[in-house]
Amino acid sequence: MSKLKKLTAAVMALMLVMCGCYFSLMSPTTAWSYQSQNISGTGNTFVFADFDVDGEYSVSDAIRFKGATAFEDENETMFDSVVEITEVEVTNDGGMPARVYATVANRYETKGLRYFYFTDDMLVDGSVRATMKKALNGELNDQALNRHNVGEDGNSGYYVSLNPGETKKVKIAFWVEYDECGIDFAFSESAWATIDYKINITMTATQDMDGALVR
Amino acid sequence: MLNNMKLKPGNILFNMLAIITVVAVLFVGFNIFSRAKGYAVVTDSMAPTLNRGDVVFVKPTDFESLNEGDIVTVRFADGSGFFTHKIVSIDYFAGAIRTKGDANESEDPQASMREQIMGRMWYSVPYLGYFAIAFNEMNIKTISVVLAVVLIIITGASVLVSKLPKKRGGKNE
Repeated sequence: MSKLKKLTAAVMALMLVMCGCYFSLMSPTTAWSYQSQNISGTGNTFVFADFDVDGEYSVSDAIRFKGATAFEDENETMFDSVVEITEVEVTNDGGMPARVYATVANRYETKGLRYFYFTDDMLVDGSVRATMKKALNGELNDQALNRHNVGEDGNSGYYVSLNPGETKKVKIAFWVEYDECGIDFAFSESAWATIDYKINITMTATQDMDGALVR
Repeated sequence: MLNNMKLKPGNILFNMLAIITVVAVLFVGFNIFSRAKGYAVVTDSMAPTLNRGDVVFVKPTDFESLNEGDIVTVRFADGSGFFTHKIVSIDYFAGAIRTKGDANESEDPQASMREQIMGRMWYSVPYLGYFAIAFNEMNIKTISVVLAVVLIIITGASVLVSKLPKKRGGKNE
């Protein structure tokens, strides 16, 4: 080979390697793979496997509260007594790490409903209120609660991570704010309030890893 | 230069390398100068429009110019990766879109905000994404072995070609 040809071949090989690097280092784009299920009542299970196609079930629930409360009020001592907790046992039956979000839809937009998504390992002194205070960095207000539940942009809220084969109990605590729910309910002396809150809880499991899904 | 070469194995190899290099460089240059960014499709959620192994080339787009039915690449809210799905609804006021994969039965679970949108799909090339998929799925040890094997093959081929016997009246270069 002539010197010129050798040099040209070397330059071409180098350029080809650079092109190969360009193609190899492209970011992978994946499906937003997930599986979701609506949850009803307590004692539920949510078992999901590898995410290809999601399945949705139209199940709704009604929560009946014993009374109203005020989570921002530091002097409120009855908070933990009136909170209603929905518990879901979540199992990752798939082969990859996953994260599980919970979203709650207040079907009739009944006023005053609030919720807090948490797991038992977050519990402080067995109290939902104390747990909330720690999780919200001491900020007991609606903005901090929304940040925790759904995130500032509405889609980056708290999630529970599960490795393949792992099972965790996740909980959603519900309560009603007495400043908003109406005077009859707030001052009801009956054991059960007269207002049922119709809600939809949706648990969503999604991939918990950088872009590419390695199966 | 190519016309003056005789049909020797070394020349054929050289010409093939030249053609592949020119095509690859032109293709990469075209995308860089067009400000298009490529993403390798890893899953089949957009099948049959996009399949695993395709590369989608995406160009930055104003949020206001997006339409329902556009295919967009979106960064996950936590920055952990990207997905490429079709827009099913747009809230121009809130600056958010809802997306869905063609092969999925329902919409993606959460809305995506305008800041997350990397751009609208310009065009796609089948199979090209397997480079990136293979690279992403290999660990550093495998990558080193593959690179070593490729280098050995290239060096071996080059030595083999240069040692081929001279043709009648010709001479080794």
